Amino acid sequence: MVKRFHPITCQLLPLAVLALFLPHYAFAQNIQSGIPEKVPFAYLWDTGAPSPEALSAEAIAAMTGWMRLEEDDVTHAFKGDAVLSNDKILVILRKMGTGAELYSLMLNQPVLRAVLAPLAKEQLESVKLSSLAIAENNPGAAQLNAVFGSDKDALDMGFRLTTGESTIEIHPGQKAEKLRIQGEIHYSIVPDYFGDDMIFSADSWRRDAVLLPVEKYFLNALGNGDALMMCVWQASDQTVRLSFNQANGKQTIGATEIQCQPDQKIWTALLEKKNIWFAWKTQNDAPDWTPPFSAQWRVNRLNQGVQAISQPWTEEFLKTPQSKPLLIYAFDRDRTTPLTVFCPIDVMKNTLGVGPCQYILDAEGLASDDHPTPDLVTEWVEKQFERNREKRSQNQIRDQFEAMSALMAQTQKRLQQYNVFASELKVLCSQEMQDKPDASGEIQRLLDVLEGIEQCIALEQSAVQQSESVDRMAEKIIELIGRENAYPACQAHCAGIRSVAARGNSALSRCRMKTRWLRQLCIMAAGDRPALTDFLNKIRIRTEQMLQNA
Amino acid sequence: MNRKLIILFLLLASALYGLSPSSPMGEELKGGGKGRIVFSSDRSGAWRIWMMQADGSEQHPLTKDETDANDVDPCFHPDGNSILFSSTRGGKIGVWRMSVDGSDLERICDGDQAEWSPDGQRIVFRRQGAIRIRDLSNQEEKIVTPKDWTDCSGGAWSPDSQYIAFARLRENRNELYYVPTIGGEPVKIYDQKGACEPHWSPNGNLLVYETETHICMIQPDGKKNRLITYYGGIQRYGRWSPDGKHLVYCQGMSEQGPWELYLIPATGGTPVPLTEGGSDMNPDWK
Repeated sequence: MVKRFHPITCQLLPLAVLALFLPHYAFAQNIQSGIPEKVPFAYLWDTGAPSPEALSAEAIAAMTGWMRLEEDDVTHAFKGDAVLSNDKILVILRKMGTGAELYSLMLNQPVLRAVLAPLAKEQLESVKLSSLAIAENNPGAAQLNAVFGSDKDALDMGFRLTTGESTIEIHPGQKAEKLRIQGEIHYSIVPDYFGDDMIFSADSWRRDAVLLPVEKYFLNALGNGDALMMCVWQASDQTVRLSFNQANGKQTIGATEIQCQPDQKIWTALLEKKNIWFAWKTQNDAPDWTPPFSAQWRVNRLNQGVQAISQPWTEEFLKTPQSKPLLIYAFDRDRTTPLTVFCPIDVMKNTLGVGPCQYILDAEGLASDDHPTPDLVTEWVEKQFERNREKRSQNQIRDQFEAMSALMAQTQKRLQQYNVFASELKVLCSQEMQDKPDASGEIQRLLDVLEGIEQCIALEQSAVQQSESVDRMAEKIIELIGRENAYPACQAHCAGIRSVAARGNSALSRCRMKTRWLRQLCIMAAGDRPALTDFLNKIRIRTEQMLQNA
Repeated sequence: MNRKLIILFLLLASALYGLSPSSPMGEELKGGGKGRIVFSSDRSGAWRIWMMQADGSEQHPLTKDETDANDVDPCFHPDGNSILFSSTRGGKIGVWRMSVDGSDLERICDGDQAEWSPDGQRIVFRRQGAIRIRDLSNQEEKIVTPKDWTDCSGGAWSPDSQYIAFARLRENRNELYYVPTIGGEPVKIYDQKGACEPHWSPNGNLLVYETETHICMIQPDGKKNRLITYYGGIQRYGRWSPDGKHLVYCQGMSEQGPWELYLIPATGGTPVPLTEGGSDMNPDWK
């Protein structure tokens, strides 16, 4: 194998000097030097000498003494610190470090975004790296398996980087109970793409830590509005804890800790662009922000507490004074989003293999092989009318509407189950409050969530009663078959069906989010109030049954 | 004032020139990719087979819009004079053949996803979830996938005619295999990320395939797996240029499309758009 690059050759010294002035440019040049074509890559490096502290942007740009490992070299003994890199991110495992230091290379210069470290059960502080092994080293992917601590308490964790992606794939070992992510976190966002997000900031919760109502993903808003970190994991039922630091009377977010399960991967993806997220705290004024790229943007109106009201961003926001603080971020692409820009839903599809729609259907037990979702069915029906094929397809149109109607009936049935669930638990909570009036604060918090579920369903039921039924709209579309110029009327009815379906999905998604939050409140309250443990366990178990559709 | 307008116009024109498919970067990329690309498109209504030059010019339909049937999955004959495709013409999905000018349509058999053998004498295709080889001289067929594998797709012939690469759906996830054309035990290539749609490089050393979101490349022994596209949205249906230096693939905003065709160096790099409007899929390059 021909060695294609060594950083201390005379040829590259001028670049290293230039690096001091143009860190990012020089880094990109350095790392590509000696390669016949500018092909995407994933490389492993040995820095030559261990650093006692995290490397500066300048040191990374200069790469002084760094040596790139030969492709397929998996036996190399590191003299210095180990580095995984591609053109977007760089991960350093320092001999004297306690975790994987994740740098972004996507802005003007390398920026340390987070430290990723394994923790054992009940362990509060991360421990020093003790050994490293190379699991994979080729231009497609590089993986380092790291061991932290020593002897029987050693924690192992693999870090894998692939070509071109700003994502680190993490392989927790058997003893790693949690993955701690430390960084400059301003907000942790638990997205609900059909309902409302929950937003956790340093000000939103007064305690040491809070359990996030996540299922398989969440976002950390990092830096100065220029970075989102999306965390995704394979296993269900993984708890995520957001911990706070207190200093000088001020509370800040310290870290997020994701519970690990052996053989179940966790991904952390950096999404970077100036203004990729934006917090608008000035009330009674219009936000001073425009989207930095074309995409679907989500606006969260922040209330007291953690429950936001979410809606799509439109240009109207720029003209309208806002009475509440806002948090805006890119969540999905549109037709003109640049190919090189990644949004959270891209990450979700790339890691879990499904988008949010399929995810919620799967989670709620409503998925089917032929997916007769209202969106797909009505779009197909519209096409038949547009192309004057509705007469020939009329049997299929009837079948499709029947399947769609059955699916939508399932959604309503699930909502009814949530309604019964909330009513039952409200009775339990009221009884407990009477028995233990000193715990009324904790119990009231649960009651508020349960009432939120009931209100959500009541709104949906009221809307169902006031609007035309989906079955009636489908009948009207079928009546249009064979009539002249039926396409506009078909479009109107199809839009009506989609609107009813969207409302139902939104209600379902909101109920699911509130139920998850209820579960976390039970766990947190049980820690604070041991006297309530039995009662809280009963509620928690019921929420888990509801979430598992059991 | 006029002078300012002219300068503004020139600036805009140069900016647009730099972004358009016919930019110098695009020309360079397309210069390496000579020949024709056949693909399926819904831009005129139902899915039809279209053809264009590999630089994106001269786009025109080969199959016409006289029926509701859909024509997809076109594949050039090795001599470039005829095209296989899948069609629902007649109400049942079947493998069809036509001349490269769109004439002489002929139904070969039930099935879909057909590809020619390197000598053009046989086809590999899918029927009832099994991968089959059909000898076009005597119409004899044989199944090359195991009897109990009922969810296989995307058979692709190796350039030396010895193997068929394909995908198998198992536990709701696709996996990649190859099997000798004379029959035998399939060999697993890769089983992660829903890998499917394998296609051999012209020299047979690599396979391009797709995951749920991206185009990747891998050696038949499962080694040297790497991403070739890593863009937002969805990338599908990677196909080689005849010289193996480029790939053509589909880029979609989501799984539902809309889809457009892009060119990219086979080593990865900057993609260049080839088509615009409607949805364009299933490219094949000759």
